[in-house]
Amino acid sequence: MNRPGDHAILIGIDKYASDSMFPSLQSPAKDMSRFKKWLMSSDGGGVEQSNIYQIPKPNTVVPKGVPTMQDFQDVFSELLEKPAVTRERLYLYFSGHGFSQRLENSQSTSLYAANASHYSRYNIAGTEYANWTKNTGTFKEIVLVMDCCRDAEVITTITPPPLPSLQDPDAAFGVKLFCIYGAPKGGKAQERPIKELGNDVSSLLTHIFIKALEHAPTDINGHINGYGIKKFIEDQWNDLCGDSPADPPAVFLPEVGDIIFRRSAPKPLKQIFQILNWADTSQLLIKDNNENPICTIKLQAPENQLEIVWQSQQSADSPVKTEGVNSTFSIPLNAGLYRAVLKTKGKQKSVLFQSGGENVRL
Amino acid sequence: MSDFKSKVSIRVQDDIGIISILDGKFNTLDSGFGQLNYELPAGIYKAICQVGNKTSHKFFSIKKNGQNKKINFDSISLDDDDMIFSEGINVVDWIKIPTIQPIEEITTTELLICFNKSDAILPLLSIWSACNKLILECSSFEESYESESLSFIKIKLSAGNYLIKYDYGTSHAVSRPVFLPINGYGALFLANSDLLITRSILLNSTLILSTSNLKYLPPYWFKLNGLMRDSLRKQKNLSAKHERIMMLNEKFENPMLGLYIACLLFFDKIINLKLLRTVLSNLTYYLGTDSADLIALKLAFNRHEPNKDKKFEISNAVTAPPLLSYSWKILIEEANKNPKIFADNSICWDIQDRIIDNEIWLTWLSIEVPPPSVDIKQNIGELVQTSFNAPLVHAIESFGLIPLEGLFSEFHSIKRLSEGKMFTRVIDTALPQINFLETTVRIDDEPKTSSSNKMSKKVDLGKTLGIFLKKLPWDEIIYLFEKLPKNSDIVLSPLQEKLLSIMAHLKDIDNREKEIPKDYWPKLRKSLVVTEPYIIDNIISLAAIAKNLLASSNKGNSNL
Repeated sequence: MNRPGDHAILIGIDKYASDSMFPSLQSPAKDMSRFKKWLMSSDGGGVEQSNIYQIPKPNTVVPKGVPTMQDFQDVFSELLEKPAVTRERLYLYFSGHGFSQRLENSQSTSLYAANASHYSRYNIAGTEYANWTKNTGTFKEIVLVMDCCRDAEVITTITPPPLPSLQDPDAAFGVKLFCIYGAPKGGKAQERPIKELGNDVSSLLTHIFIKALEHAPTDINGHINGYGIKKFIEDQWNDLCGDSPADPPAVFLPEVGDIIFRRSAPKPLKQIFQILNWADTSQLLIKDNNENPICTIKLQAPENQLEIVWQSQQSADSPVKTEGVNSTFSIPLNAGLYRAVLKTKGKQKSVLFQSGGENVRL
Repeated sequence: MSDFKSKVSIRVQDDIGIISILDGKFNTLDSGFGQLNYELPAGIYKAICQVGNKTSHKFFSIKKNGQNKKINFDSISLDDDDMIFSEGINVVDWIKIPTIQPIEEITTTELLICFNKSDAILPLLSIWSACNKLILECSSFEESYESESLSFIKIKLSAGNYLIKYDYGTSHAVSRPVFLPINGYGALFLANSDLLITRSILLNSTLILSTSNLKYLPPYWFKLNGLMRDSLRKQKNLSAKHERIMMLNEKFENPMLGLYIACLLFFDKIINLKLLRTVLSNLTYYLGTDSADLIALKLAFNRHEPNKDKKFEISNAVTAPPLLSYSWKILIEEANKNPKIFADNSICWDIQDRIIDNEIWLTWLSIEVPPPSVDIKQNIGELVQTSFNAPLVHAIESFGLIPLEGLFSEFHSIKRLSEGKMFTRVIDTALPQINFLETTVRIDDEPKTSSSNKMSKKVDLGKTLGIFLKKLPWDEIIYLFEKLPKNSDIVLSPLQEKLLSIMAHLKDIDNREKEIPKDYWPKLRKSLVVTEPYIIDNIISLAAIAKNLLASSNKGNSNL
């Protein structure tokens, strides 16, 4: 579903002028592209391509020390000056090296500009841009993604954006601001090879955020909202990090209401089952967290194919049974907790599992 | 869904473990430290436990017709088949860290929480127990006597883990875990840009938290504490490189992390003395020269460093016990060589027989054990005068006396006093009873006593110990102690309780006419982590109490 009133400014900085102070990163540009892809998808953000501002611009040669604070400010100004029919939601996505301020009692976080160095701490004050947008009521909804470290700096100051000191309390009332940071204040964001991406390097935050945008549990209206995203990320974080813990993302929901990120049904997660000694009479029953049946899987003669019967409207191709008496197959299940019950010749075994997690063996 | 709810109790042995219960949509139904009690309707749930940087989860289900269940999550072995655990899912074992058993008679730690008055808004302060119970909530603070710029609140808390929350009325309150040891000298999480204030408060055995450092919660401090508990307990450096770096950097904000990393560095196979020197120097700047932990760490450093550094010479006597048991062990080892390491009036002398467990925090009972209701000196006199048939050499050898050179004249005195044969074997094996006995009785503090009298007293004491060790029916005494009513006047110190079983063991060895190993005494001393005089004093007291007990039960040993 297209949302013509939505806009986005994305900035990803892989390389800095001062490589000794800001080592090169592998993932910001790629992560930015992945997020852009989600923004443009019809069942994702639904943002029109013309409303997405990417820094640096795609398919351009990026000189050393670019993008700068000025580059971001220019794009931000351009967006504000653009005659828009409606301004509904603004996505601000930042990826690179960042910091926060130890002596400030706020969550304010800034991204180092590519030309930052030891004596020139140029930075792009992401949180401040989002706050300004909220306080002026320029957009109704703001989604701030700051995928960067949040070292609590003492000697580095967040540079205030060169924006006019405007405030419009009436317009600002009810503006929803959703913020997600790569780490708690003082913490470190990380990029790593991600197994689900074929060990391609991605930042942990962007990966889990996009995953949450697609798979998070829905509210009572069937929508994925900020609260669902927060819960999903909190639950999945340790699994994503595995044996090497990382500072978890910090998610801040709007003070009033919530932001809906997905109105269509969430994408199901792939759940793999490994059934030992699957007999002709075997039947696998999947129940949801309220113990209501979801589907039943059994063998169908004469092709000896596994047949899946869904209780609700959910549909999918029949799972493919592997050769031999042991069977491995996957079925799509929405994020959640389930029980699998295997019935064979009057006996039954059951196991509890979380969809998208470890293989279920029965 | 049925309205029926089942009670679920989740517990993790370590009370710093954070437990959460999630429903099928990952809503956090409840969370807390150490233990969680919750009523749940039928359904499938997920329990998550986090201790340090380790996280584990389990799924469980509640059936519609389920009964209330008490689930022991210490081992996560559920007592009901209804709580199904997935065999095929790779589940990390729950972390089992023994916790301090609750003891009623423990000292409290005075917690002083300070805020900068310059802050426009003072927070709503709340302190939560490990079980997530609200202990205190307040928003008014007293004016500080330490500094005009501070407001403060004082509260006395028992040992344990707490969560302190500061709510500034914004959308997110700030929380910080605080670990208070049971020694009444808790200065753990402290930090302030104003070092003078921090130090003055630290030295007054309190804890300061400054608002300037509470504007964010470093979650890794919590992780590091869990990690350190493991490391110190196992005496092994379990930290990863990045965690060490974190501790090294963050020690300026939280000197406790500095003490931790210094301990960890000692556990390395190859000790990085250069790094240790820097860490200890920086900590001195923060904690001062009279921090007991720091003194202990410097003593340990000096043992490894061949080139002595004047900066690490210990000029101060320890006046207050350290925070860490690790430091305490170092200090006790030193005190056995140099008793002056503890100041004369130091509480360190008094608490030795009240140390209560082997946790990483040094802990002791608050109440002093009442003195035995008998005149020890009189009893010693009586006992020494009684017949003594066992060879004294057994008594002396059992204490594994280490060789001491340069006191030959006193050896000869002993030899004369012991009438020859009895000490021949002692001297042959170069056992330096002099050194041992000097530390057991303060006879040498009596300047007017002649040398021969001193030796005589020492030998008498050796005989007495031999009697205590071997002649009392320790098994029977243990039995009598167990039978004593709880309100009995006879109270043993924790040290005496340990010694009681040791005495029975020695008695058993003697009964079987086996030699007590020579290294028995050093091992015993090391395991008890108490200075020698205190062990001897407690053996004597124990024997005196035992004698009274035997007499009152009409089963006194006629030989005594």
